[in-house]
Amino acid sequence: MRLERKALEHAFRERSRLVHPDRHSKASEDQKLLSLKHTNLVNEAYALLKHPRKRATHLLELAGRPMDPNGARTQDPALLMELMELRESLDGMDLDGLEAKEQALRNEVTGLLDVAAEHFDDGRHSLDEVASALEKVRYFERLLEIVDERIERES
Amino acid sequence: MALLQIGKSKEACAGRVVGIDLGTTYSLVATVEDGAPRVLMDPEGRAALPSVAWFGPDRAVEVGHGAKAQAGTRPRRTIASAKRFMGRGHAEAQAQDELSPYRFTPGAEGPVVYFDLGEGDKVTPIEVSSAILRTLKLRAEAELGEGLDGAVITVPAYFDDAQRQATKDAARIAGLKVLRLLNEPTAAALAYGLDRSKDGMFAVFDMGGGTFDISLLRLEAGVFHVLTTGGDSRLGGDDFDRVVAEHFLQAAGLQVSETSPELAAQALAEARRAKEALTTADTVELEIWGDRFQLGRDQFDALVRPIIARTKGPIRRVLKDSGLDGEELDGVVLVGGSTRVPAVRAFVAQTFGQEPLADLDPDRVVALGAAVQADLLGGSGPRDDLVLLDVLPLSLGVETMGGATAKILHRNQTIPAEAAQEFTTYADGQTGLELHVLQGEREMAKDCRSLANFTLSGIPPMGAGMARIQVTFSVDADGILHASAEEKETGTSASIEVKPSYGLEDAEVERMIMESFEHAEADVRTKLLAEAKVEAERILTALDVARNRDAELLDEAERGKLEEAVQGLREAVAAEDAAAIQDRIEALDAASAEFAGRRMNKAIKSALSGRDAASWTG
Repeated sequence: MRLERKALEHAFRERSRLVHPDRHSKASEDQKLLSLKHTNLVNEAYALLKHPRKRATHLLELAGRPMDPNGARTQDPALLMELMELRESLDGMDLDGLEAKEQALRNEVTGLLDVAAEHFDDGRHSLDEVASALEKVRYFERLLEIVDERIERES
Repeated sequence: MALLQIGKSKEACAGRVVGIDLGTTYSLVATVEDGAPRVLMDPEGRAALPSVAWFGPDRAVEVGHGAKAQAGTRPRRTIASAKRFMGRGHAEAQAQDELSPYRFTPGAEGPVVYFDLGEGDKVTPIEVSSAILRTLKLRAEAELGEGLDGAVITVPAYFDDAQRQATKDAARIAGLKVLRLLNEPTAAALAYGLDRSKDGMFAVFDMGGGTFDISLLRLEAGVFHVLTTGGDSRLGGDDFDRVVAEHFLQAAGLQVSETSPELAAQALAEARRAKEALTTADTVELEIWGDRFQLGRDQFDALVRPIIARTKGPIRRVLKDSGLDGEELDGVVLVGGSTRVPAVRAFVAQTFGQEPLADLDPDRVVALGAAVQADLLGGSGPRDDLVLLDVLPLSLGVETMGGATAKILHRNQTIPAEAAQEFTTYADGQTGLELHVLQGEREMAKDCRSLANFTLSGIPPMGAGMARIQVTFSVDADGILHASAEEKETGTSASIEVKPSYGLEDAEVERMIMESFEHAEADVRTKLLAEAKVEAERILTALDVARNRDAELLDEAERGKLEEAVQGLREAVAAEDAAAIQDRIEALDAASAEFAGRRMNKAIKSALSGRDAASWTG
């Protein structure tokens, strides 16, 4: 789960270098199609791996605990309450407040993703704990998008 | 012999590819020669072609310096900055600028905006771009020879699907084969990277006449890896001109919104001249409608500061999305004519905390990079040490129940990319499905840009919710969306009809191709090909007859050689290449000369002996 971003990028670039359609612009149609299919796969894998939550969700699925990609709504009333309060607290917040809120949310996401890292790399926490942490991350990401949109409008 | 010639003719084709920077205010064309990119000049030795076209009555067209020089006297029929309106609808275009020399009119056939030229004439931004591309194509052909094999055309990285599609349509109408739509900052990075061959993390700040792009990319051992891109496809140096022009119109006591096209064109031209002068001078004098004004650098800077500040949002987001966590940039590259404005340079230096790189001409660097990419794709071919990895600028998604968007492909995802999404039916026996495809980051569909409506039909009738229709969305290396659909339960492929929200329908593009004066030239080519094919068929038939009749005149080796030449000609005919057919006919003539001579001798002999003369066919 813990992954060096530079190492991932490097691996991605080296694979792309081999399969990218531009490297096969003068090959036969069959080979071009093959190169396109491979590139799509490499690009999909990279997009998934570089995103920590998606990476963790994928590992969870490999461990036999798939999460619904379209997101079944959480039943946890405490989480719903927390989210609602967070959302309301944004109203009327100035730029400084929004930026502080953004940082707080990001820290929170980092902490939750650590749960996944500690499970997969260090053998701590249960799969269910990881799943609920990731569920929470998804909600926070949504919230972060809203905060970002607000910040952009304010600045 | 025949094989050698095939090799030769292919080599002759390589290299006739160009890179085109289709800019808002200026456009350029470049090519790679002996491994180095070079900008092509017009006969007067000028590289930059003003992106200005005049459309006279009877579809006369004038592009470039002449059209620009007379913009003030014939404003309604002269279109500049058409790029700002590419892929836009009528309502959007009208809402765009207050001070504008243009009048718009809705199209009869769709939502595409038309410039109203007066006297019932109108033209789309796509046709304006096409006229510019055609001029550059002719310039390139004058130097490289007729019949370009293709072009890489640059677009702002932040161009959405409709704007990209519009650019491709313009190329099609101009008779250009598009090898790739390349993002402008990536093209610039390519030119820079090759120049310095230095690895590291770079930001490209690209501000042209009408668009702003910011890209972050990592250069590592020849791989140009774009991490994130952002921008504003309606922000550029034109806005500087507009704010200055509006300021002085107001100072002269004129109502900006009621300015005549003539006055607007003149004021904008004066403002542009002032802006250019102020890159070196401290003060400049403008003349608008007989009134004279002084404009100092400080005053100009104050006027444009709010416009420059609009780049802050995109820069912030690009830095954040890249996940760099404060990692140092190894360089900031300046691209686009507007980065000549001292206030812009100062802003960039301050924002990124370092002096930007501007040692390559910011006006030419995009065209040079495009030429390099064209050479990789269609000229001398791929190189082991060079590959570009670019990204999707804006997320793609579909509208869901309740007017929300479900993103399917995310912004900054490396392209080409593909993603599948399953949909189902909501009524018994439903055989069709409508999908509204959107581009943008906002949560609600109404805040995103509508790209197209997909109508899926041919779904086998089943109970509600039983069908599993998998729609595959793919974005190609040009950043353009394609879709296909399949019903998974039965394996039937559903057909998709795409109705673009803003673009031209294929039929409209075809019509424009027919209307363009390129038509005449294309006719000549078609005719040449048809004639060559007829000639080839005649020779092949005659030779077949002769070989059947006089097979004994050839030994095994000769027969083999002749057959080789015949195959060569057949292949050229199959490839529909008029020039190659002519070459092959000549080769076949040479290969069969000896045989023809022997047949002639035989015929003469038999004629002299008085037998069977009637069967001689020659």
